[in-house]
Amino acid sequence: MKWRVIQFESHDAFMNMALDEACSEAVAAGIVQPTIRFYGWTPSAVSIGYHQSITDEVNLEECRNSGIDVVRRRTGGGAVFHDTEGEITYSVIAPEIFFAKDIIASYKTICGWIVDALALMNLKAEFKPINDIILDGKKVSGNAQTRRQGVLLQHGTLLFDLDVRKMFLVLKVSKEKISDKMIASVEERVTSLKRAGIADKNIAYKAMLDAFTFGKTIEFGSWSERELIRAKELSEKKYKTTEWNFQR
Amino acid sequence: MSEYRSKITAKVEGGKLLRMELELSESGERVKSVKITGDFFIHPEDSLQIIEKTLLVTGIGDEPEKIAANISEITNSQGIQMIGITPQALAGAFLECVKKAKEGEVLGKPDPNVKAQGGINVPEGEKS
Repeated sequence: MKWRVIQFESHDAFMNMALDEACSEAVAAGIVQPTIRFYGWTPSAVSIGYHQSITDEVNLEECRNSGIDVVRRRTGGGAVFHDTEGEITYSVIAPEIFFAKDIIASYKTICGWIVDALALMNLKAEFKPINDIILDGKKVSGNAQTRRQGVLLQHGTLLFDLDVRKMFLVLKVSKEKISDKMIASVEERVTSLKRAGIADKNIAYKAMLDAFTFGKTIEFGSWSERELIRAKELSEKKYKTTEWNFQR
Repeated sequence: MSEYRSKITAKVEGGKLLRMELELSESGERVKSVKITGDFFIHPEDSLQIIEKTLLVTGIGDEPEKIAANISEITNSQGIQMIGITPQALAGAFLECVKKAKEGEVLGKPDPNVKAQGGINVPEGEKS
């Protein structure tokens, strides 16, 4: 089976989520190949898990004032601050029969590609169930998966740089918790490639690309016209709507 | 809207966060509404509503084991997979929510440890 690889591109949060869904639909319909895509978020954004309450998790006023998009994902998991410069995000979209039926096992497979990417940068990381990758005992990647219409979508981030103070401003933690002590505590639990000595984001991306495509027949491709039309529609009529984002 | 409302946040074994918001009927004897949120995973995702409906018809005096067994029965029969959340955690959160809602009734006055936010009572210490 040949995989389509869509190389790094940046979109706003709504289009990023819409492209994942449009691609999932196209894979379900059998009209595009299984797809691996890499992307960034412009402007910076917060995504919340499918089961989360946006008002519980996000400082909406801060996001509005800072021009940060907020979007609900189709996948579970927690709220994530996606800094434009701070991470590389990926999605793997394929028929679910490509992967183990057991969800944790399938996380392990795809997260294994990230572990391999880190190994290519001489960094020894490990998969920590449910959905994290740990480097030096600290989280460096978070991942989330959904399976709908026979298609598995897993997306996740590899942290390149981390602005903890900014993250605390947009994620809902009371002001008094944004103390130096609290920030130190998060920095003890979360790390980034920069902190691990990888100063060039392109090196990290190249490693991701190599690890995700290793052993696969691939073709560098682009979105089909049908996917783009559908994604624009989903972006406007679903992911930008109050109905979707405030549903819980 | 009845007087008997509560919201709790619980850390589930494994590190995920479970929030539950509950309202009892005017009489305080049955559940009027329940909403579950958090950073856990449920497959298929929309099955969370099935679990909420199960809790909606759960007796507020039921034992936690019975509530957890009911949830397990529903999830097993419908092929629902929960990751980072368990029937036991849901049952515990449910009973804690009921207890807090009822305490509001017994006290008959605002709890000084509870502050109103968005129409739902959120204990300050549970925000992080």
